[in-house]
Amino acid sequence: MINDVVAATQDVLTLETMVTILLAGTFGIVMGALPGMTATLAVALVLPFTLFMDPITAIAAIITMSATAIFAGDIPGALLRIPGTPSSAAYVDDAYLLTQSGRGHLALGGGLLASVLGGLFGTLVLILLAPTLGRFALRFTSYEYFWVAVLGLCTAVVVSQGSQLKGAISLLLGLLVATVGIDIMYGVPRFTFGVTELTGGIHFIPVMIGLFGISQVMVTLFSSDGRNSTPKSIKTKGMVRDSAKGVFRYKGRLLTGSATGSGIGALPGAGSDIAAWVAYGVTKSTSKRGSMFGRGRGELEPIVGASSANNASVGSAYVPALAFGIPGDSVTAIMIGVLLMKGITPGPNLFTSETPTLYSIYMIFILANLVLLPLGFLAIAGSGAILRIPQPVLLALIVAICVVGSFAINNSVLDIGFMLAFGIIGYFFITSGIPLAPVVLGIILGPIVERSFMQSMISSGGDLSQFVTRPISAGLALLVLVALAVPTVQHLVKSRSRGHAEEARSSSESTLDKDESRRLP
Amino acid sequence: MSVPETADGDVGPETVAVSPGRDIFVGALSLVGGVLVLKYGLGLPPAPGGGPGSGLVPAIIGALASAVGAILMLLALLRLRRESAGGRSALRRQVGVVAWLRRPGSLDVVAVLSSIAFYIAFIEILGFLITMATVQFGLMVKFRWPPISSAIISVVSTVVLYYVFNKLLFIPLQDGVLGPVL
Repeated sequence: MINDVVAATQDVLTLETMVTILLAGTFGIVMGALPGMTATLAVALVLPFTLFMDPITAIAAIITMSATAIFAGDIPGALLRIPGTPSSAAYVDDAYLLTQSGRGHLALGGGLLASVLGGLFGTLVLILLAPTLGRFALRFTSYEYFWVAVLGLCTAVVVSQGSQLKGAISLLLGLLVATVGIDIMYGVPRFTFGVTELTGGIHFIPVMIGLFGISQVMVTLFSSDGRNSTPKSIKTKGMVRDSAKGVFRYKGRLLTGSATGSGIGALPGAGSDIAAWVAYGVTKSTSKRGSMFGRGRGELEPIVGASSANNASVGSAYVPALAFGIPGDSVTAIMIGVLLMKGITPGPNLFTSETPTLYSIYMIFILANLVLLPLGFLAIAGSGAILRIPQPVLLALIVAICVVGSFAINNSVLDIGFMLAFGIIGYFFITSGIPLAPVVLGIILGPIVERSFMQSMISSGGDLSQFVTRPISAGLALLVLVALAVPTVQHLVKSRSRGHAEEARSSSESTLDKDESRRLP
Repeated sequence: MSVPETADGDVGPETVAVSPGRDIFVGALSLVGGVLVLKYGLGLPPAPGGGPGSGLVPAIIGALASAVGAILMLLALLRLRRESAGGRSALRRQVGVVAWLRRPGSLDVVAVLSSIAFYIAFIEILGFLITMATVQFGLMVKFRWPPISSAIISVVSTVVLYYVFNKLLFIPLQDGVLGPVL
């Protein structure tokens, strides 16, 4: 083990990797701070660069960029009430109100510290859980992989905020998109309608750029009513001290947020967006001041809770990616692609035959979170300059980058058409309260579900009972059932307790009425 | 998750409620789309041995989409009935298409979508430099930015994008009419 750690240290601590970490961190901060740009989009745009890098350097670029971009999404959120990344949307109102009341340094500095500590917590979870899961994954066959992927699909819908039915619609659209092209098992073209370019399927990058980038431009244009045109200045003097004090005050929130983020991030199919919303919900429902969140002069508590969850999920999302080769979110999906391109196969073998690479990944995570601290404080101090790009120029630039980014994946103009179509669909989804993330997760997990299902059916001669009679399969199937039952049970418990509360209120009101009538002459 | 916006256009994490009319529309769309996908999936050839073939997964997706759509529609109809009984004019909010077009910013959104369509239509003929500079210039002017400044920024940013993607990343951006010069 010591030899592996030494080898990993030698791989990571090279000039090329360190410079890449700094550059990727800076690029991630800039991209995350630009409204409409997501951590996934930042990673997608830098993907072509990774083709020319060594494996460890390429991994360092992606990990650092996703960690810094997720934090940087808080900057335009706090200053302009436009979340820079989808995961910053959960607490954007609290951060904006804090800035409006002259405490923007606390909103951003506190968020940064919580992000760094949450990120380190998520890395710890990755280091501690991934090896165990990796060894366990050696016993997995196509039946078990099928259920793990189905569990990912289910959790993506179950923890979607708002209506689970709408989360299901979003997911089904993603699964449908994943079926376009030549069928992987029998070679039959599906939904190609005679268009040759469609036989290769629809790549998830243009879909994602359209869903998140173009739809965000549309949302921004519709909400440009002048309320977000004047950013307040950020006090940089004493920012570090005040932020540390603020975060220390809510250390309990930091722990619950990091734990929630790590837990959700480790689920295949979830991600930092869902982690932030769930952590925000947990903080709100358990805080004494929960009713004040998103109103008044702004609160730091939900920012600490949700911001730590954001970055904790970045690390833990690699648990299923490294252990099973199943992406935890869109960024890890891209990362898996890069690893495969570089000849590294994620999955159980990573823990037995490629341990130096594994330890390098752990080290990169720690370095990425440590680099985030100085870069983040510099970005906060200089955020005024980034955000002073006038909105008309910024929006036109976003459209240009979206167009080029979509084209760059396959060098196909058809992909720009897909981006446009999914931009419109994304806006329709946002205005209809339909979550966007399950579409991307459906595209990523769809082929895994179909391949493992069809392989299992062929190997068992069509015997469906094999899916539930094998011990691990049965356990995973049970987990899927539990995941599906949770919202229904929660709904029933909530409506029952609401019914009891209403009964108690009406009986106390009638008692009061009687007392009142007795007192009246 | 992106900032949720209601059908009425209010953006913010607190406002995730959507009018029942919109839910009925989404449910109907899912139902009809699901039925079409189911029909398509059932029409695909079976596996060589006679087992489940290429159409199995699309058929399952179609069936689930139609079921989920039907449930969403039903729930939205019940909500609509409840709100109407409560004296709230839930139906009034459903006349959204005209209101959508009249909303501030709608023409800017149409400009964004049209500019991308313009890019797709003319990129092979005009090439990246001319098409992208035109798109950016058009958008900035539409977003009420001074024309001279828009022209300078759009040309500079297009050249930077061309250099980064074409020269550094080796993405074959189209040369178009400028091919002999570049």
